[in-house]
Amino acid sequence: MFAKDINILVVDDMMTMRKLVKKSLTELGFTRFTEAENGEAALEKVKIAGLSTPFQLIISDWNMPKMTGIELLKTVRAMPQYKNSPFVLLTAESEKSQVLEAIQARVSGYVTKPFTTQALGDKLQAIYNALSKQPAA
Amino acid sequence: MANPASSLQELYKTNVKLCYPFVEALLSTIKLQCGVSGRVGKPIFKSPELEDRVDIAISASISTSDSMASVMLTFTKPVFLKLMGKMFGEIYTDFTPELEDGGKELINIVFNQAKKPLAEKGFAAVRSIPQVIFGNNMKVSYLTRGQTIALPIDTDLGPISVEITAQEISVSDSV
Repeated sequence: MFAKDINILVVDDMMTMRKLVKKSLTELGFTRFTEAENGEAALEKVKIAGLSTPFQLIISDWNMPKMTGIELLKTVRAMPQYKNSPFVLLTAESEKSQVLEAIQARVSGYVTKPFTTQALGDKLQAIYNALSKQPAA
Repeated sequence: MANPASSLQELYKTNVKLCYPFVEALLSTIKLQCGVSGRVGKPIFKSPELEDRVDIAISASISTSDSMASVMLTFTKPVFLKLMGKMFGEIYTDFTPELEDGGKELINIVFNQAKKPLAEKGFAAVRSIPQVIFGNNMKVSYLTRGQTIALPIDTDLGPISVEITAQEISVSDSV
């Protein structure tokens, strides 16, 4: 599993959802969180983090004002340091077209609300396992 | 001219068909997100004599090609605060802006879960932005003119109600 002190960016326009995600992550043992209220704000945080302290996991809602989660994903994936980094999309929708779009944008994982801590943990474990199998760059 | 009795019967049937996807979605959501179990009771057709007083109302409306419906989740204050407390792992003693957010997110999740079963029943619905109203012993009235059906849900924390009022859209309702 990911180390518990990885730098995690939580993106959602609802304060309560960010709280819920952080609660689940805390229950899973993670300790370092940065929050952003939409994709645009998240991108600012990513730029500030730069190369020295990049986010090692981004968990983002899909539907947000200013910049959606999928738009954030596509933008971040174009950055060399985030080309293969873990990015999880959270959404209340589970329509096939959305899932397909997320896969095409190279999302690492997709979690549908409502979610349990267990479900999020399982998803993160699956992502970690997949990343561990990739050859080193 | 349509038989008024059969129109009402159709309206009630439509209301009940609309209700159950929301009830099932709510039960699933509170179980997964809050660890709270619930059991749905028998539908109640609301009338002025049976109107309940509530402390929290979370509502949104849905529209299809030929009908409009208001969907409302109603709670007493203690039940809502306990539910939100379970959801966020905190103890709440009063309403806060954070809980207004929480209420909107709850109905968003419920609506999105109900979307697919509604579509399977022939209701391709478009949803409005949700509203959360905190008060004390409020009486609820509906903009739509149809009959209101309430499905009471008995949970481990106390009662919740899912209420739906639907009406068919007539020419005079068009803008």
